[in-house]
Amino acid sequence: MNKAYQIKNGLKKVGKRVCLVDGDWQSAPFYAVVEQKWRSNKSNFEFSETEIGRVSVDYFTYIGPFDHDIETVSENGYLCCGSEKYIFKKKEKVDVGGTVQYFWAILRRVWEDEND
Amino acid sequence: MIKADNIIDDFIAKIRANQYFSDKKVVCAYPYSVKPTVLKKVVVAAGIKEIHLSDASVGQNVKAGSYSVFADAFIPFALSDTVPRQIVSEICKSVIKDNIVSVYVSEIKASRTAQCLVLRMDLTFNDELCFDTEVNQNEQ
Repeated sequence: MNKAYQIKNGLKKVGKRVCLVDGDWQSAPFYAVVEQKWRSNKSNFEFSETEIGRVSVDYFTYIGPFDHDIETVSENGYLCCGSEKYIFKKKEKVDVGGTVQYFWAILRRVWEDEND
Repeated sequence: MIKADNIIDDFIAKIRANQYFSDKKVVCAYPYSVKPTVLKKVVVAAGIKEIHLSDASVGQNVKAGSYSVFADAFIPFALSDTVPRQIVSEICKSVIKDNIVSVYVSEIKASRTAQCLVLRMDLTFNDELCFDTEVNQNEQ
């Protein structure tokens, strides 16, 4: 079986159910790994205080299937995972021999203003 | 005369009364809430910077002097063209009728933490201040 499909099937077993949203467009749900990035001695687990509210800098690693091209998602697009939203900070496709195997990205969790 | 504990509330109310800020958010600095990751509109945060008071009348407990209020404007990167100078102008316009003695406007800086541009304004007023406890004592 093609490696890209093997990875996609693996993601179904270990990933979370997510979807991509870009403007009015929304993808069909699929499975991807979304895991928080942290290093025990360097990550700041506390909120940073600013004059307009607390800021949480939560970054996540994304690994998604080959058939959901995150590179075509615009800057305003985001990833939905349950009730949480993530924006893309870095996107990359991983290809081997000219065939895309999976997509990799760095995500940042989105906190929204209730009044917006 | 203004009540010391209403300085910020009054200041915010005057800015909010300005039509220009109707689609913007004006808050007291350091609210206990989470900042939106991506700012969609301008947010102005106000707070007390410093107060210098002294006895203004011999034999009477009257405190007068100057007090400074900061107004930090947080501007989304996408609105960086004309918005900052409009904000400065409109904040000054909102409070110009008070006894304002000086205005300081900082350079615009990009904040990595807040992911937006930050413009600080310090406005200094000169007036007589009254404190609630002081009023109560006088009444007794």
